[in-house]
Amino acid sequence: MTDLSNPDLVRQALGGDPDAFANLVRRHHSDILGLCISMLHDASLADDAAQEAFLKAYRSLDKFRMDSSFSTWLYRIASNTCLDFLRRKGRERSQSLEALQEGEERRVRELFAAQPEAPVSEEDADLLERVLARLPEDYRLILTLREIQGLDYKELAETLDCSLDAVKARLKRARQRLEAIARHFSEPGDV
Amino acid sequence: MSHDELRDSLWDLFDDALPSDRRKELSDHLEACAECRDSLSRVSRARALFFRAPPAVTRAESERFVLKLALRLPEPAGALWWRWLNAPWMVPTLGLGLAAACLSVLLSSPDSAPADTLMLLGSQDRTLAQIVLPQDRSGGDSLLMSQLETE
Repeated sequence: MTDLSNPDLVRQALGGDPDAFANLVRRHHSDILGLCISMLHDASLADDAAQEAFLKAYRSLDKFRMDSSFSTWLYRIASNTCLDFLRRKGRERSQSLEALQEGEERRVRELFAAQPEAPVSEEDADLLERVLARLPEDYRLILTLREIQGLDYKELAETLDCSLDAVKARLKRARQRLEAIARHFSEPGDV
Repeated sequence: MSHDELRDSLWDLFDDALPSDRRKELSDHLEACAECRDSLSRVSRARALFFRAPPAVTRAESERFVLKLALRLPEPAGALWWRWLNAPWMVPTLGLGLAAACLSVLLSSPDSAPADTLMLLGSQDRTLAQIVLPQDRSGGDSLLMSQLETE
C-alpha cells in the first residue's frame, strides 16, 4: 500500500487516478466494514453498507475538506449509511423486538453470568443482537464508535457532527440505557 | 463530592477522561459503595458482551472488496481528460497529430487561397499552378485556370 497521506490520495483521486481511490479504500476498508458489522450484525448486509458508504464517499470526494480528518469524514458517511440500513432492516425485524421467549431470556442471563469475553455461538450472537436492538440507534452508534472503533471524544464529535458536550451527554445516556438492559438480565427473578 | 455526582462520572472511567484527583476520589468511593460498584460491573460486562471487535479483515477480502467497488464506481467528472492527458501514448500521438495538421495546412493552402492571389502569378508560374491545382478541377478553379491560360 502507498505511503501517501489521505489528502494526497484524495487529490490524486479527484484528478481521476482510480488507483488513488482504491488505496484509500484499502486503507480504511477494515475500519468501515468493522463499523458496519458491529452496527448491522449481518456480514452480507454489512458488506453492502460498506460498499454503499465508499460509493457515497467517492461521489462526494470533492466536498471533503483537506484540513479535516478523512477517517472521521468516512466514519460519518458510513455511520449515516448504517443508520439507513438499520431503519430499513428495522421494518423487517419488528417481530424480533418483541419480548424474548422464556428460554431465550434465560440464555441471555446465562451469557451475562458467564465470562462476557468468551466467544459466543452464532445463535447466541443473534440473540444478543435482538437484545441490543432495544437500544435506540443513535445510542448504539455512539457506543459502537467508542467501544469498538475506539474513537475519542473529538473524533466522535467530528463523526457525529456535534459538540464535545453533546458527545459526552449522549455517551452517558447510552451507557445508562445499556446499564438498564444489563440490570434486567443480571438481576434474578425478572423474567 | 456527593454520591450522585460521583455516580454521574462513573462512565468516564471507561474513557480515561478523568483528571487524576477525580479518578482517585471515584476509586475511593467505589471501594465503599456497592451500588456504584455493581453499576460499573454491569456496564463493563455489557460492553464486553455486546461490543465485540469484529473479525479482522484479510488482505484477500480487502482486495475482493476493492474490485467489487471498482466495478460500481462512476467516472468522475473531469477525470477522463486527465487520464488521457497522463496516458503514456499521449505525447507521441499529440506529436503525430500536430505534424499531420501542419502537413495538411501546407498541402491545402492553395485550395483556400483567394483567386486574386493566383491571378498575381505570372505565366512563368503556370507550371506551379498546374502542379498545385489538379487538372480535373471544376467550377471556380477551372475558371481560374482558363484565366491563367488567357494570360
